[in-house]
Amino acid sequence: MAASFAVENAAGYKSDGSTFAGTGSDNGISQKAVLIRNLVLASEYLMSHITHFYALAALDYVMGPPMSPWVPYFGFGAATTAISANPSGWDAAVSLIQYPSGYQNSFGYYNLYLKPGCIGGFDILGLNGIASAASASYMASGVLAELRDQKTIWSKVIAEYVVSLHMRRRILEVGAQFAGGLPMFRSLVMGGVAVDATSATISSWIDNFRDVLYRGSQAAAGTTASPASGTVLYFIENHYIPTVNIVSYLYPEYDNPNNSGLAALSALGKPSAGQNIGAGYGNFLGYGVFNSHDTSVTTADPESSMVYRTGSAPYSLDDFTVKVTSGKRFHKRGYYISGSYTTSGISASLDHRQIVEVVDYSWYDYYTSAGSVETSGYKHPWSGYTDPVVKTQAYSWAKGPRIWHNYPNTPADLVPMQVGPLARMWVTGLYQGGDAFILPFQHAFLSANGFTGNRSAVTAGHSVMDRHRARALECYLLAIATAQWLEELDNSTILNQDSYTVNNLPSAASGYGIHEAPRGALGHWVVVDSSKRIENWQAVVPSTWIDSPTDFKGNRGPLEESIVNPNTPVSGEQSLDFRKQAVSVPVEVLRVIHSYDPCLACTVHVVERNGEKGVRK
Amino acid sequence: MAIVKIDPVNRIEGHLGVNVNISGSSANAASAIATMYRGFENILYKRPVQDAIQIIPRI
Repeated sequence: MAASFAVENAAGYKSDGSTFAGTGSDNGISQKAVLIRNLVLASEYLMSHITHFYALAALDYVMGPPMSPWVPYFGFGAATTAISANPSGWDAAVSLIQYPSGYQNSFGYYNLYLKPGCIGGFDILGLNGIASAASASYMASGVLAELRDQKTIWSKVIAEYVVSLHMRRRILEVGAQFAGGLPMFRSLVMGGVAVDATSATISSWIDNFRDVLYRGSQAAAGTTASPASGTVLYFIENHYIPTVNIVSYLYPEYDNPNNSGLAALSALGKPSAGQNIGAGYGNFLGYGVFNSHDTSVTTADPESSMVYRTGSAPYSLDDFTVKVTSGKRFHKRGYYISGSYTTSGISASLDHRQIVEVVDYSWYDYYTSAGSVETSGYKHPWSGYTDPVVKTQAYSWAKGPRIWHNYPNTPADLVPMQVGPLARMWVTGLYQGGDAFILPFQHAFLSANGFTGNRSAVTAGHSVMDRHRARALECYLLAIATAQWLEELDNSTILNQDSYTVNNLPSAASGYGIHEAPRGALGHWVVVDSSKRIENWQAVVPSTWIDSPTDFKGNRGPLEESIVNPNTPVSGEQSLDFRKQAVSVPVEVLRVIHSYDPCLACTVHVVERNGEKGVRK
Repeated sequence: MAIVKIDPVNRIEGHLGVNVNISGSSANAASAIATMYRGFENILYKRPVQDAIQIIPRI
């Protein structure tokens, strides 16, 4: 969508880098177009956040059955004598949770019978001191029996994983009604959306969307305050947020120092308070996203959010108010430089000219006007280029985007920035360091497991767990906003509006589009030549900010900084490889990387010339 | 000094490599490596501007 914002900005629509609804005389687009764009983008957000946590990140923490992709296990206690004396991770955690009486018999996870490597009652890998191995066929049937037995915690974990896949598919489907296919918004055009459907058809799409989001079925009850079981909003409240809470409770070392984990774990060597693993600079950038469909909002209006908190800390989910008819955007535009990076924390508004890229350790060069290679150079995307060169010191195809905080003064200070859900929530003022929250602990599947009610207050910071927590919280708030956008769109005046508004693209223009993709700040810059063709197009995508290489000042990219952070151990956790050899796996680094949700060059396909290997990603 | 090289990093979207230089129990240097050239900027050169709206989201 940032691409259409860039083109619309060049074509003179009502834009400050993202396009607003207008009254007709101010070159705004229709309210209908803004609402449909918001709904499509929201469905991508909800899909992306759920997918990220369950399919990409949670497997670093949650022990599944002894089959791919859950093996080899991390923090597995029985691999060696030394480790068994000091078990860690999930294995230790589940043995310490205070289960209700009789739980062992019905759930049996930590019964040796169901230990890792024990399948169908047989100690397949001979790790747990239980007699006998079993044939491969018995092993297979044992796995099946395990999966069918909903009483084991393993199958609950799998069940939730499978449910998450279902949820992400369903929410994408209802967004695709408007988008003509997702991901990748097919119906997007300059000036709006190419949705040629009658009001009645769009109303039926809205109804489908409501059903998936919170109602269960068209006839069944369900509101955003009490979503029906089986809906996406219900899943977020009763599965996603509680699971994030549980994981941070069992892995307190990945949380910030203000939070503590399960007390019994500290007896086994786990720290009692957060160790801030994976904390980075604490600099956050947000371009702002989900524009208001109110035609009276102008591009000059100060930043304001559709979401605000009432009451006092610690805030519960009920203390967040979402009102899509107020505020300029869902998330504000701006950036924050942490107190640890400069002398004091700075919140600032953003001018797109402050966004520059460096290429010192990337396989690109910048050139001076005389044509020689420019050292220590930085360029705004309008004057940038992305031509590959051979270069000894380079190590990445990503450039290094930086914020020129003291713009337009020189020397430029060039600050690296974290982007993504935590950055957005921080910039919008919904999740900032020191804020305390009361979040649901009650889990739809695991409530019998001691996880009931709400977790006592958790405090915000910028560790690995804060990234997961902020993402889950954003997912919840956005689902509420999405329900409201559906109601706003289901209005005959708006449904009768044009889907798109035509503006002539001037020759020799330039434009920029900046907004937030699910993974973070996304910007496109375009220069149009005299024949209305692209003279220059530069993309600065979220993962370029996150995975940025080091710059000429020696400042690392945010991901690099999080790994080098002395709080982040790289000693590895014990595991087993497939030959039953004990290995040390640097899973800490993986957990840090996964918390950022990087996405590199999503859809670049390489086609083998002879075609025998087909198309690969 | 040990070097941990994770390339490719799995369970992310796309291709990322990470080299970590280990000193004691923590890292003293890390490199995040985008291992592919994207080239969308050069694909778009001199194309009609509105093409970008359909091409760019494929990144």
